[in-house]
Amino acid sequence: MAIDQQLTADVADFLFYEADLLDRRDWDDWLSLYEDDCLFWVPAWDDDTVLCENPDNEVSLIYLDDKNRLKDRVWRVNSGLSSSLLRMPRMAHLVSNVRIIEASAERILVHAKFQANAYKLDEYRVDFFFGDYQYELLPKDDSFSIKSKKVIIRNDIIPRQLDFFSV
Amino acid sequence: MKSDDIKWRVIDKPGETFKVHRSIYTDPEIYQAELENIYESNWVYVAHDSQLPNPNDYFTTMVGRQPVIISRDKTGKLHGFINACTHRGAKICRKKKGNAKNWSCPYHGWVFNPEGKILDIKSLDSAEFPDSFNMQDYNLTAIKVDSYAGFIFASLNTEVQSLEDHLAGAKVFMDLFNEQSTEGLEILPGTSMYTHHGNWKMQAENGVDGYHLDIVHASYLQLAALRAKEAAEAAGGTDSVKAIQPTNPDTSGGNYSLGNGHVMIWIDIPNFRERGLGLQYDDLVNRVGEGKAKWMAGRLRQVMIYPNVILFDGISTQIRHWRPLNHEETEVTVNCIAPVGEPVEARKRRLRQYEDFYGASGLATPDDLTEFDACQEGYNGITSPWQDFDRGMKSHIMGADEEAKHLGLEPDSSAPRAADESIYHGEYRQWLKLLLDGAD
Repeated sequence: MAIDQQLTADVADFLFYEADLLDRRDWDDWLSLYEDDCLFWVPAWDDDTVLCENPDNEVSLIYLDDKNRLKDRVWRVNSGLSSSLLRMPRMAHLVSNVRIIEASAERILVHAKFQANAYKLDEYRVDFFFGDYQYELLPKDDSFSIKSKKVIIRNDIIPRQLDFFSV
Repeated sequence: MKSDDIKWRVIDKPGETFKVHRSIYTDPEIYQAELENIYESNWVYVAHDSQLPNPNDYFTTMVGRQPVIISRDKTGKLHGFINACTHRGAKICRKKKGNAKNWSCPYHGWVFNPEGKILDIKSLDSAEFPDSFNMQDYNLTAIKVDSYAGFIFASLNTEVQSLEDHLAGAKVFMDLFNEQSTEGLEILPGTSMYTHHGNWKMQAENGVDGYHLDIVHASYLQLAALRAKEAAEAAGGTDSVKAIQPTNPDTSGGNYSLGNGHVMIWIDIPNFRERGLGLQYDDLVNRVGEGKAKWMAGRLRQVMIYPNVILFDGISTQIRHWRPLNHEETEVTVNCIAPVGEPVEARKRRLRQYEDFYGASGLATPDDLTEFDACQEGYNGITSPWQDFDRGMKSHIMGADEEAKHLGLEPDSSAPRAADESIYHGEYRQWLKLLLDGAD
């Protein structure tokens, strides 16, 4: 496949934009990137080498099968009722290795790598998750929307919390 | 430790007060005594049958500080060993699980079988060992392993009482759990581990704590209700989770002390038909009868088997077990467990409810872990050292209540509310007993 440099640049810019919205805690604009029937999926690992692939019969760390479930998570942050979310980490998401896997007029499949750094000031500690993003994007106006986002976490022993903003 | 250094930390005056001194969560010497006398002298949960179902399967884990192998030999019998080569001590099995007819140590190549027997020493002919050398002295060091209702436990203490005696009243609830399917239970693929700041005993307390539910999990409970409401109104609302909404633990349900430190809470789930097992409730009633079916599908049960595992059956179905990393850090391993042969829709429902609430990536557990952190910090305020577990003391009765009698359960004690903190008396009496048994 000939590499469409412009498309790759546009897609990368979109992923950087999403990452920045999470870092800035701009939840409303972040939600607006997602389709109503989107999927946000963080599969669990079965053992060192085997990643779970069937969410209907295997455990996921996070499996949100429409936008209302993403809104649930944002609602919880905004509710002030969750003590774990009253001390939000300062996050910096790094996104790289952006590759177009498949592109058509209808959809674009994208793979990328991420490292999401968390400074937990209340706990005097720094944590981070790293791994892979796998997106299905839909062309929308001059940009894209997110039909699905699969996050493969490669360091999956979780220090206290993993939520949508942590990866 | 000397018994005089231990026993003052628990004040147990039946009918009057029950207190623990917060140094039990912060004192490194207490922690060392717990490792020796609780984790390494007692039975601890290690695995479920379904994690090593076939001949020659093995599974590696930890008992206290010590690495162990749990294996199934070619006849299906379970064995356990210290996971260290008898030659130079290198860990032999290094994967979480596997299947092998024999294990070859990666360091110098000594070979063992899944019964722990040494099969080969490399270059034995040229070894020039002294005359006293006997190869059979180098079999792997065995530990005790046994299982009940599919749940596998191990002990480093060869003199430990039988597993059935140890489990005591918990067996009734392990059977109820296991009988969800005529084919038994299976751990679903996908393990999660998380770590938290906070002494391990907070795990053993919190999983049977009905009192914190509507405070710590206020966001979860409100969200579950909101989801259900918006989906019912159908104005763009959806609810693929259908989270359970239990009755108020402050005024309903109950708890039992099951012996040897094991305790459990229960509470009714009015919308139990939305649960994985509830979707097949009529079939269940036909199979096990109304009374048992109500306990199995209609009642949340959280059964803490001392010292390191809780069997959760309510929000969804989870095995949660933990090991202390030090006196103030804990590592937790969680698995979703489900009936073998479960229909597809019920399996999906079980998983969505599991992921929604449980684990460090769910909507509830991180709030518990945050409270453990806050407690561990608060316990440093040792100028204020005592806490009581007196809530519910007036209605706490020794022996069985009516519900227990119907179940054929003979608990040490019964209580009429899931939020009663008298549940901890059983845990801390066992804690004190084990530490004093091992004291100088």
